[in-house]
Amino acid sequence: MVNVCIKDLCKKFGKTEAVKDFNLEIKSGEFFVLLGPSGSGKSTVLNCIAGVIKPTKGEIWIGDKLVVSAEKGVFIPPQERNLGMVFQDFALYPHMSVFDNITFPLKVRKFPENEVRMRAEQIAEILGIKHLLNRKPGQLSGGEKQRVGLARALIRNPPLLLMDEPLSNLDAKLRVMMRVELKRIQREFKTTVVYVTHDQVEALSMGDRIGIMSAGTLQQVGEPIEIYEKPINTFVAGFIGSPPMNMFNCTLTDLERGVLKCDFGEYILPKSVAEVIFMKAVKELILGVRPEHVKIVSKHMPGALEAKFIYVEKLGRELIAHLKIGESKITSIISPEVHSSLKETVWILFDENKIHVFDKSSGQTIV
Amino acid sequence: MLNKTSLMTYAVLTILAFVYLLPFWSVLTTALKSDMEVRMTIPIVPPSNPTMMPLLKAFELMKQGLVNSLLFTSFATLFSSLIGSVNGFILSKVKFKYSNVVFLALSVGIFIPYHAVIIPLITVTSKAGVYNSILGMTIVHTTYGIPICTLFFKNFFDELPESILNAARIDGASDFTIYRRIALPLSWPAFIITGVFQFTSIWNDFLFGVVLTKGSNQPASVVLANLLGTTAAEWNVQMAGTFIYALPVVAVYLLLGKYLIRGYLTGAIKG
Repeated sequence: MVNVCIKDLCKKFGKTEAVKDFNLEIKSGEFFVLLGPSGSGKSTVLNCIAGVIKPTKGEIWIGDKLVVSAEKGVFIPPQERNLGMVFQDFALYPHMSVFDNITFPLKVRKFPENEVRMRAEQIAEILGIKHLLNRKPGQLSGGEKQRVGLARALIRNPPLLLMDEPLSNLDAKLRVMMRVELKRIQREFKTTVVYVTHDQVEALSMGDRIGIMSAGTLQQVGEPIEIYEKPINTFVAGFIGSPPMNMFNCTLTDLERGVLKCDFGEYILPKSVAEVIFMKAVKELILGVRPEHVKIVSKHMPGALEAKFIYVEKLGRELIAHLKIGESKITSIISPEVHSSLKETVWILFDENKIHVFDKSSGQTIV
Repeated sequence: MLNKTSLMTYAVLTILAFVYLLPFWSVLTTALKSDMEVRMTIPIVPPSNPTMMPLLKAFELMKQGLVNSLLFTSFATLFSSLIGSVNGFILSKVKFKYSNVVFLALSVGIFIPYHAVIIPLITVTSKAGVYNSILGMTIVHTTYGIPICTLFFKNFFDELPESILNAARIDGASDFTIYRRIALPLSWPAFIITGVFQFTSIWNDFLFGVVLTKGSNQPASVVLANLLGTTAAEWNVQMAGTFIYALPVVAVYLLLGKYLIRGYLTGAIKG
């Protein structure tokens, strides 16, 4: 187990800035997930840690060892960084058998023959690939290939394991299985993991902490629940959660009472929220509310907004209702029982404790 | 069942194949005829009384030339492919400052016509003491083949996924180990393409052979041409010589043809 410290990391490819002013401390033994849409720079950060890319600026520490610093001219090549890496396309050596693939890191380092064999059998046992040792990668399924890739990364028992979208090339069912498996392996090997993905489900389910990236910058770092419940800006709020958070452009018309004029009509903010906004004196706002906090009722109630069903996605256990309020669209998660009791026209209520308000110009959260 | 269009296609292809094979057929028939019969019949008629004499005579005359050609063609093919492979790997995967400029400069070498360098080549080989020797021919053909071999291998290695190399680096392999244990074994299709290409073009070369060698060091191509001038035109011996001369190239194609096509088609490495 080892910690990783990244300071002021920048990486330019030609004129495009893939990563800028990136600061992060990954704790020892942590399962850290870097989450972001494609092109957000998360893989670039990972490759800088691995040493296959040289950063333009900044430095990276692995444990108490400075592995790269553009300013001090330090660069320790990937061969000497003592880490393991798992790739999206598995990156197995196609001409070698599974045994040769997973023992490659040991053979390159000239480990004695009997130790190579012993370690290979041990790791193959743990990952359930013992029966595959004589096969070639071409004869394996996606899931098997990923296990081989994992075995190769883990055979030296590295204190740091990097994973670059390791589950993206697997089918849905296998992905769910491997999520559990990866967590188990991380605990068993007691290694620090940096895991890159664009899949928020993977991030929320596996990460001890998550770092969310967009356009080369780190937006927010926190535990999954913290990121879900307290998104720092509109990007994080919209990126995390499925279906995404409902967001509406609003103008504060009555400061004292906290009346918002939204696309769909008027909405009166709860007192506690209104007070905070009053202090900040921001007028142009974005109101956000997660689909599970949009309640649907069949009769008009005070504060409720009239809405019409457009479409209902039936997912079995729950339904995603797409509704229209005024000129805006909104989604809500409801149970099948509730749905069957409703007519076409309904009223919706927001859970007042769970609404989010963002400053429209900066996108930053206010409440 | 064959429909009308495919029937037409086959008919046209058969006729074309026949036209293309006709010269080769004539070579074979003429090579098996006696001196008398060559003069009395037209080339495409099969020999009435096949004889091995012309083939044996031609072989006797060309023996030394064939050995020479086989030697420098094999070595030059091997060396230029190996050097091209290392170059291609470095230019494609290792890279260094200005590696693109180096590659560009190297590529220019492909377009230098043989004729343009003949006089400097004679001067250089004489000064280096390898004029009129098998070693000289090997060196010249190796050098001349490096640009095209590098191009073949660079294109091949460009298709090799970067992640495999990164995996190897993280696994602790140096660039040399990556080349030897991963790139080299994976590049056999490129070796086949380059090998066949180089073997054919070096074997068929006439110009370098005729200006850089004399007497017993001449390659088969030059010896074959000299068969003509000696006495009266012995067409059967010449055709026999042509047949023998074509054999190694045909053999290489027959032996490696199926890999060649596979090599052309698989740009990427199959997992």
